[in-house]
This record gives sequence, C-alpha cells and structure tokens, in this order.
Amino acid sequence: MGLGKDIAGLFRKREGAPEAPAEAPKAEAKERSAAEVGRERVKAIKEGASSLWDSFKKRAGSVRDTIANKAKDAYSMALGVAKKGGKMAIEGAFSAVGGIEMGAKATVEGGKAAIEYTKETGREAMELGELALEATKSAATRTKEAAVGAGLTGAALAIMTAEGGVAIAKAMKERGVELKSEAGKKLVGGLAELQKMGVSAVEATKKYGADKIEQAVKVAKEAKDAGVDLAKRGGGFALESLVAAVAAGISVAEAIEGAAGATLEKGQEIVGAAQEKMSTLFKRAREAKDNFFGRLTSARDRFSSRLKQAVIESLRPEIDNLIKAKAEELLRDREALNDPEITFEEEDEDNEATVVVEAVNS
Amino acid sequence: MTREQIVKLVENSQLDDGMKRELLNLIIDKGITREVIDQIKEAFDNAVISTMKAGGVDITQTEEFKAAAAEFAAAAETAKAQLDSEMAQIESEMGQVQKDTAKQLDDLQAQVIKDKISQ
Repeated sequence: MGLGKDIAGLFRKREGAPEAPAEAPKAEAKERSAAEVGRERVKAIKEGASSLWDSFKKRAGSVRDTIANKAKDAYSMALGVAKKGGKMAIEGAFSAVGGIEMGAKATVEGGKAAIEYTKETGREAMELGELALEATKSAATRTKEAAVGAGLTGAALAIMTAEGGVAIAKAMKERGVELKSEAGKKLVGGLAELQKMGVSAVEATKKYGADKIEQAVKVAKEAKDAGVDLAKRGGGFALESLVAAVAAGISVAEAIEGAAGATLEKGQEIVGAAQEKMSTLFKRAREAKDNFFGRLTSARDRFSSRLKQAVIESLRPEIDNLIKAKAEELLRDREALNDPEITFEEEDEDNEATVVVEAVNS
Repeated sequence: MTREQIVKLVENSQLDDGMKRELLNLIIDKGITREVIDQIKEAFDNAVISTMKAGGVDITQTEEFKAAAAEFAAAAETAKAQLDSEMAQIESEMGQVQKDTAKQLDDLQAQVIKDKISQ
C-alpha cells in the first residue's frame, strides 16, 4: 500500500522541491475537482441512460398489462352475459377474473421473497477463479447446467435447454420458484405441456407459477378437447381468459361459445395487434439504447487513446518499474478491448440478456 | 473478442480484486452488452489513472487529459440528448398505442352491452 507514497516521497527528495506554498494545495484541489467533474458528468450521463432504459421497460410492461386487463374486462362482461343468460351480471364475472389475475401476480411461492435469492447465490463466497469460470458461461449454459443439476429429464429438460429456457428461468426466479424444488419440477413439467398446446412457457410461468400450473394445464386440455386451438387463438391470452372463466364457474365450452366466444376472439385480435406494435417499439428502444452506448464507447475509446498518449509521455525513467509495468499492462488490456469484433448479447422483451441461474442452482 | 476472452482479460488483469469481482458479476448478470463493455473500459481507464497517480504522476493535471476529458463529456452529452429524443418519441408512440387500443377495447365492451340490450 505504501509503495506509491514512498515513490512520491522519493521524487520530492530527488527533485529537491521546496515546500509548496500554502495556496498551491488549494489550486491543485480545484484543478483535480474540475477533472473529476468531467468524469462524473460522463458517469451521470451513463447512469441516466441506464435508468431511462429501465423505466422504459417498466412502462412497456405496464402498458401491456393495462391492455391485457382491459381486454379481459370486455371478456368478463361478455362472460357475465353468457353465464347469466340475459342478466347483466358484469360485476360478478369481472371480479372473479380480476381476482385470479391479482392473485397470480402477488404470489411468490415457497414463502421467500425473490430478492432473498440473490443472497443465496453464493457468488460472494466464490474464489475469483471460480467466479470467472461462471462468467465465461452464457446464460443458456448456466440454465442448462441448472436444469440437469435439478434432475430434469425429457420434455421438461428440453424446454429449459431450448431457446426460451433462460427467460423461463428468469421468470421462475422472479416468482421465487427453485428449479430443483418439487414446485419447480411441477411447474416446468406443466410448462412443457402448455408449450405443446401453443402457450408461451415464459408467459405461463409469469401468470401461473407453480401453484396454478396444474389448473392451467387442465383447462388447456379441456379447451383442446373442445376443439380450441390455443396457438391459433392467441395462446396465453386465450388460456388466461379461459382459466379465469373456469375459476368463475363457467365451463370451457360455455366460455368459448356465443357472445363470450366472439368477444374473446375480437379481444385477442385487438391485443395481438397491440402486442405486435409494442414489440416493434421495444426493438426500437433497444436499438436507441445500444446506439447510445455505441456512441459513448467510441468517445471513450478516443479519450482512452489520448489518455494513453499522456501516460506514455509521463513515463519518466525515475518512475518505479513495477508501477510502469502495471500501467503498461493496463494500457495493453484496455487497447485489446477496442476490438471491433466483440459479439454482443442482446436484450429481448422476456430475457434481459442473461439470468442469474445460480439462484435456482444453489 | 469472445465472452471467454473478455472474462480472462479481466481475471488476469492488473485491476484490483474488488473491481474484478464487480465486473465479473456484471458479466454474469447482464452478459456481454455494450453497456457492460463500456463499464469494463471505464474500469481500465480509471485504473491507469490511479496507477500513474500512485507513481507520482497525476495525469488528470495534464492539458492533454483535460482536453480529452472535456471532449469526451461533450460527446457523451450529445449521445444522451439523442437517446432522450428517440426515447421520448418512442414513449409518445407507445402512449398512442395504449390510447388506440383502449378505445378499441372500450368499443368492444360497448358492443357487448348493446348486444345485451337488443336481446
């Protein structure tokens, strides 16, 4: 720790510099803070961009929920008509559907708040080499390892190792469901069945979790037996509406017939079109964010190149060799990062690039 | 440069262990995104500055550094202004999608009521 201090002390002795006048430290402090301010500005700008992106994602999620809930309101109303055969029992059906939705959202299974999982990851206790090894693995690899480690086989293992596996793991983590637990295995088993019937496994994880997955699978099977192709009828939205209808005491057949069925279909069309537009906007927002970081990092590279020049010019012979070697190595590594061939990982709507899979792997 | 090469570069670098851990955790959490790469680059730049300082040379006091830092901050501000403008436009379009869809769904509900009344 004292190396830099000792070297600085040696410089002062060698140069025989007189004691600095009283004003000098103040001036130096002022200069230093001006330089710091520039770097802090960049830091604040970068943080601002990250938080802008986070807010956008939240807002996009909220818009999607609002749209879906509004569509369900319309369907509930139609269900009320269908169920009561001429009486406007809107409120009853509406509250039943709303209740299911709210319950699903509020549930974090296993009695653990999702946040607790971050404390259980064990990453803090890992040796640096071990942590680096983890970091070399893609989210998909870590998800696959967690799925195999949890003893999943067959269709359940297949969906966790397929393209959407990472997003499913993330959704499970958000709901506090451990992959290796009985609840986790039950959930993944149900997801595999739903996926075969045209329902998104990620969406189903978010909506039903482990405690409602069996009910969802049962309704999906009933719908299939009744001749409803969920894949063609909006997948998750259709299933969710049917699950809610069944919970309100309405049969699947009744829920898809007549006025209710027509409303469900029209609602799916409207929601589907809106979701498509939202996906386009999400992609545009992601591109805007990526472009920002692209521009920022290009500016940083230019800055770094000038920093390197300033360092080279300052590497006087009297500077300690260890310090010199360290600075040179840091500069070499920094320059290596200017490689234009870096393969970036993209964030999508369901999967923010990676998932902390060790949460369910620990 | 692959993910593995980037991780190895960080792991075997002259960065202090605390910073290495921070960056490795960032890679695990967010993957190799532009944001993460920028963060890694920043860590190296800062380490260069502090190493030189430990050797008795405060690079931040050089005219070259001050000019480079000012140019960097200005470029960052321009990039952020562009991002703000693009995101504001997207937010506005998103609001319109929400509004239009809500209208369609309200109409759907109204139709359900009309159908009921006409029965």
